[in-house]
Amino acid sequence: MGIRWGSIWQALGKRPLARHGLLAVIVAAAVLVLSYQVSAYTNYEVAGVAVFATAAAGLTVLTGVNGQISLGHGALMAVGAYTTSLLLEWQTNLPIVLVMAASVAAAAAAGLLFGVAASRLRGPYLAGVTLALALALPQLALHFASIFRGEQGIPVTPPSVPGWLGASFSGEQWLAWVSVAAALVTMVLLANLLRSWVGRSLRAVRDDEVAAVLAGIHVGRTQVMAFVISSACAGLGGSLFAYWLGLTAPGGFSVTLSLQLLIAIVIGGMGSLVGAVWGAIFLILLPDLTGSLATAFNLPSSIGNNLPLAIFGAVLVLAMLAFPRGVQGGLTSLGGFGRSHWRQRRTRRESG
Amino acid sequence: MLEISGLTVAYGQVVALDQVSLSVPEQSITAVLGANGAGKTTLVRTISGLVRCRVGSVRFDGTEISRLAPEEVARLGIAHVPEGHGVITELTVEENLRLGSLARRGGNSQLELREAYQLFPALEPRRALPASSLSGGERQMLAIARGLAAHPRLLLLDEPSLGLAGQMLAQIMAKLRALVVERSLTVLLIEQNARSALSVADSTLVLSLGRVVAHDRTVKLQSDAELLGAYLGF
Amino acid sequence: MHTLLVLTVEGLVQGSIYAAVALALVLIWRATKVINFAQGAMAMFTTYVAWLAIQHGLSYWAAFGIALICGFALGAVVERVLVRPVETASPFNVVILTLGLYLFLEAIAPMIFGGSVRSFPPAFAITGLELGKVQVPLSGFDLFTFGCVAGALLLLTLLFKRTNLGLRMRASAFSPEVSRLLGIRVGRMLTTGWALAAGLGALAGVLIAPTSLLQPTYMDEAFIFGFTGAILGGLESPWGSVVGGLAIGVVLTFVGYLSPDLETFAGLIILTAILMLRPRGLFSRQRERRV
Repeated sequence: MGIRWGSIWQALGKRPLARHGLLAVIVAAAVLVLSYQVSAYTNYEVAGVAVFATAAAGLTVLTGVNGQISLGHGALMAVGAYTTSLLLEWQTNLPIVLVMAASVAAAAAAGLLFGVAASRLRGPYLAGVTLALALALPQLALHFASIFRGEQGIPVTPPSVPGWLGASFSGEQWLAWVSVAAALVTMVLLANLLRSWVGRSLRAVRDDEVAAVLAGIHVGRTQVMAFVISSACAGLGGSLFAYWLGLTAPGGFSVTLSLQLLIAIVIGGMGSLVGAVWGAIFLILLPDLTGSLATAFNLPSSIGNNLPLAIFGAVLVLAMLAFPRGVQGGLTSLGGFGRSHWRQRRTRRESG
Repeated sequence: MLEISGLTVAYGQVVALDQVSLSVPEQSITAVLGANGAGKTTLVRTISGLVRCRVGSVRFDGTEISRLAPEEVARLGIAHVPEGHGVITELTVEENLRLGSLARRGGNSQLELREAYQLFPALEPRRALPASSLSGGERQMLAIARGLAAHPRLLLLDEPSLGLAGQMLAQIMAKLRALVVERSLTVLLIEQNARSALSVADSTLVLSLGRVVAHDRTVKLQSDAELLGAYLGF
Repeated sequence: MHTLLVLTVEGLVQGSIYAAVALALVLIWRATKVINFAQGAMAMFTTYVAWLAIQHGLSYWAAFGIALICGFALGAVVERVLVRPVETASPFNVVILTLGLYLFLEAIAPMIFGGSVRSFPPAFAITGLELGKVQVPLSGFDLFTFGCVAGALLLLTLLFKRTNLGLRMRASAFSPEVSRLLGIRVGRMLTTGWALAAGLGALAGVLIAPTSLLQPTYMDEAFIFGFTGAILGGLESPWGSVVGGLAIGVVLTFVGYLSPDLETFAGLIILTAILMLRPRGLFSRQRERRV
């Protein structure tokens, strides 16, 4: 059994697009089948995981593969979300793909703008600027309240289920399908990108800028490219987020959102796309868990509401304490199967 | 006063010191010579605690110091003047000196400052200037003065000749000689410039590739032309 | 003209708080080469503690003192327990660590102190003073704020320039290895540096609280503006950061007058502009690698 897997994998290895595509199709099929078996709430959660996985995947490329830390991707999600909300407000039955594409474009543009401005920044300077972005951008929505509807926000109707699926097909299921499809497309594209010269440039700049320059890589352009790619993902995630929440308001895009994305990629392993999924699962499941805990122990709401965040913060701190050497740039993962896991097993089998 | 036995230090796979043993007698100057990479700097960095040894012991007046933090070693009375002098350029000359005297328990910094200026009068007119304004030779003097301000029992000097012109170097060596007597100072002098060290040292140790290849009274070694040729390049 | 003066004065008062945050960040940066992203949250927490003290009947001044002491303690504990183990690893990890601490503090504050927005009393009246018949655009509390920060700066300057402890701390920040060789317990100096910085942050937290109302996120903007001030002045320069903080305060007050709600956005623009010109801060001496 093991050997057969290995040879198939090897064959596919020569054509990464095929391999990633196959994996995506398998996952999509699984989700498809399971979505009928599970409750509406679970489908809703699956959609949520897809939302965060999409955004986190982009961030993990930016931070894990390219080494640029960003605390502002929540703001970029906001760009995508507001684009979606405004377009739908203007014309309720715009095709969903169009809306998503516009959101991606808007966020990518914002990412381009910001990426160019920040392309020479490193480390804490970049972190600080992106933090400022996270704080400042939602304020625009408050200031231009006539367009963005200020604090109340813009309500978003979830995507309507297409007729051919039948009247009994639930909205949550469709939301899950759409979101998972978007997430899978993102993952496949990113995975292929990482295997190409783009991925190599990103990694090269992360590992040693001077060496990268000597190798002919234009560092500034690489940095901007990474920002744009990750912003596009955040934009798509933001668009899905708008559908998922049903409301786009400044309050939903605080610094906490950006930090939650960071948590997702730290937990899942920086640079790992699969890890982004694990991280997203953690983000969605934990509030559920703490919610149940709070009800079970009759905890007051001030504790119950804040428990997830407290745990997120504690997890970040403990992760840094426990793995002082291994987290950045590597494919170590706390809870998931990083790509390295696969590769290690394959190499061991091949050499042994 | 300083007994080192079986000292082995490695940086990962690279062995810098291999079973080095030596003893430094009180009130004397011992020179440690050898080519680049022989392990001289590693030796002093291990004594002062900046580097952990893998095996072996370093005893100072009978106390085992190989597991102590550098600041503890310094407080015991060992002053290490590092390679490249280690002057803190953001601080003034006088602040550097004051730092040296702070290491000494129950020190009177005014007294130590006066002593330092007596020893190196060139420093006094620059006392309020940042150490960055000093020339290489002046910085070396400052570093040595700072080391001495703590009234150490053992002074570890790593390559003081770097950046020092011949005459200044000779002057400093002469002053060290005098201090050995006046203050019961013991000096371990690391040098690549063998000549200046040999002229002032009582005993000499020669390291090569992490091993002790010679350790004797200087006068005896000086007459061993073969040794001088093989390891010291003359 | 009168408006100009009023705005400038207001800006300087507000800026003095940002200057305190900026200086706190610079102190920590010089000691440990870390930007403490949790600085604002730590200040928020200590101010909540002070609030609790007042709820329990203690006087404002007792609460004030408690906030400062908690600040010192919190800074020391964070450095020793959380930052020290991670210091030697990549600076990336320390950024993530302080962010985690930020989240944690922002979450447990409402858990401990309750979730609703609280009001915090000012030390003195916040109405404008009157000198004779002239209405001065400054309140008693404004003067107090400015005075506190100025006083803290004075004390810190004396500490660093005139005392042996200050000398040891500076040496530890500039050359930790050489300092060790000189018998300085560098670890303790770093902890002290963090304690002082956190104390400064706590001061800023208490001074801002009356105007911005106490809630878990209330120090977020002060942190960013302080950070901007520190970058403006260059992270290596304590005086630069103070001037930077004051400047940001003045500029943002003008922006706020012209266009309310856009202060944070203006702050972002300023910060980005500064860093685009000099990726290492305006007055820093380091030259960034031109690649």
